[in-house]
Formats: sequence, structure tokens, C-alpha cells
Amino acid sequence: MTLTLAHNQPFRMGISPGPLEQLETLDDAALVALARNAKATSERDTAFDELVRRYAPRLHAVASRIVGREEAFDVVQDGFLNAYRAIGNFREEAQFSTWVHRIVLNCAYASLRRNPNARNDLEIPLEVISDQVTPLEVAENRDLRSALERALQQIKPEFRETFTLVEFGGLDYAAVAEVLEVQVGTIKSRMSRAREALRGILEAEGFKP
Amino acid sequence: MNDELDNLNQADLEPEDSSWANFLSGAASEGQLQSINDDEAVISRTLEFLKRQRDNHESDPVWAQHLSSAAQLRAVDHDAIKVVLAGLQRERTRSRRAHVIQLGTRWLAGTGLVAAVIAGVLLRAPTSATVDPSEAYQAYQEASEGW
Repeated sequence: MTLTLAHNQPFRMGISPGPLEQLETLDDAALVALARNAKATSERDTAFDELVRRYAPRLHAVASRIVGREEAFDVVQDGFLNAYRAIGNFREEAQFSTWVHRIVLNCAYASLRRNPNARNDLEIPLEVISDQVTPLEVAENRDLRSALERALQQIKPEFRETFTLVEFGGLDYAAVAEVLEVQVGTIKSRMSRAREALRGILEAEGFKP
Repeated sequence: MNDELDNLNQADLEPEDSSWANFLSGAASEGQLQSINDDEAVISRTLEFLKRQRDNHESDPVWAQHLSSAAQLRAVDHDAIKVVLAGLQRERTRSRRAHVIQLGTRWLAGTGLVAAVIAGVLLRAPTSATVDPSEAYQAYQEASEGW
């Protein structure tokens, strides 16, 4: 069986992956195939670990917006453990990125159901704005990223989820639609509504493009 | 969530301000340098966690098999699980019937054996009163002296 490298070079399965740099050049499909079918357990684990390196940060970013930063570490661990155990049943025609996003999202919501109070950890107290400070000075002095994080917690969950997957998870609309099991048009609608809601909140705080 | 909002045609929505879309995307990506520590931490912690899980499985093959089976069951369709459960139920029912039949057969066999023993005893028992062997021998001696 010949796998394809990211640079369209053939990679023969059954041969030890060798240095880590070789794994970095494989695309997701090739890594998944190795993780499922390599003869040696060490080869399978090494290939799966490369997928962890590739997706753990963005999945942590997504999960953080649901359960908070600290709990997100456990959520990502549980998600990848579930993915590791189920990799044998992964449908090769599917995309690993959407599949693992779906798994981690499920873990995040399961964590939230077990600990509903985790939502409170996401609330960042708003700074008191003095009447003597102009909106322009506020915009110059405030951390835009922090403001965005606060604003995200104020919009509807489905809008926050969609915006998070697109902007923090790096998924395109089609992938997000697959993860959330809705139509692409629904994703477009939600993104539009999310941006509209965020704009309203950030403009009220003095931010503008 | 209002499904009607979800199903709105994109054209029905107000034209999105691309400047705000870009502004929000930029804000989301802003501070990525600040999260490098988190990125490295989540990678290392996840890899360590997976390694511990794999090592635990290797040291306890029985538990590993249990987890593996459980994972396979979770990955199976619900329909397939129903088929398996139905098959198990049929097997239990069949086993229960076989067990009852076996018990009945043993009972009958036991009963028949007991009946046979009783019949044998009754058939072998003398019709008259029990004869004392010593009296019978004395009678034989007296009878044989006459020869």
C-alpha cells in the first residue's frame, strides 16, 4: 500500500516512519492509515501521536470556549483517548479533522453536563469604564482579544460554537457543518448572526475596525 | 435555537460588513503568541496521558481486553447491539429449556430407579412370614436324619 506525502511523494507502509520529520510531511489520511494499519504497535502509536501534535492546540482552543481553559486540558485528553480507541472504526472517506472535532465537542458537552458550574469560570468581569475616559482611549487601552472572549460568552451558544469552530478551530464552513451535523447554509447564517452580535457588544465597548 | 433563523437564506440577511468580519477574525487570531504555552502544554499533557493509558493496558491484559471490548461495543451501531442482545436472549431461553428438560429427565430417571428398586424388593420378599434360618436348618437336620 502506498500512501501520499504532503508533497505528493510516495510513502511505503510497513517501513518504520523513521525520524519524526518524516511524519510531519504526511497528510492526515496517511497518518490515520498508519495509525490503523501499521504492523508494529510503536508505528501506530507514533502516527497517532503526530495527529495529537497537529490538532491538540486548536481543539484546546475550541474546548476552552465551552468548559474553560483548565478543564479543556482534560477534555482534549479524553477526546484523543476516545479517538485512539475508535481509530479502527474510522471511515477512511471521512476527514480526521472533523471527526476528532466532533469527538472533543462531545467530551466538552459531557463535561459541562457533569459540572454545569464550569460555565461560571468563563465569565470575565467587565472592567469599570470611567465616564472621563473617551471611547477611543478605551479602545486603545483595552485588550481586544480579552474583550472578544468576554463578548463570546454573551452570545447564543450555537453562535458561539460556530464562531469558535471557524475562528479558533480553523475549520471551513463545510467542515463545521459536518461536525455540527447541520447544513452549510445554517453555518453561514450562524456566523453572520454571531458577527452581528459580537459587533454590537464590541462597538458598545468602544472597539471598531 | 430558533430553527427559522437557522434556515434563513443567506440573501435574506443584511449584507455582512466585511470590515467587521476581518476585524473579528483578526481579534480571534490576536494573542496567538500568548497561547503558545498552552499549545505546548496541551500537546505534552495529552501525549503523556495517552502513554500512561497505553502502558496501563500493556501491564494488565485482562483489563486491556475489557476496555478494548467496551470500546468496540461503543463503536458498534445500536442496531447491531440489539441483534446481539436478541441472540443472547434466545440462547438464554434455549439454555433454560434445556436445563428444565434435563432436570425433568433426571427426576424421572431417579423416580424410575426408585420404583424399580421397590419393585425388586417386593418381588423377592417371601409370601409367608419370615422364616428364622436356624429353625429352617433344624428342620433340614431332622429331615436328613430320616435318610
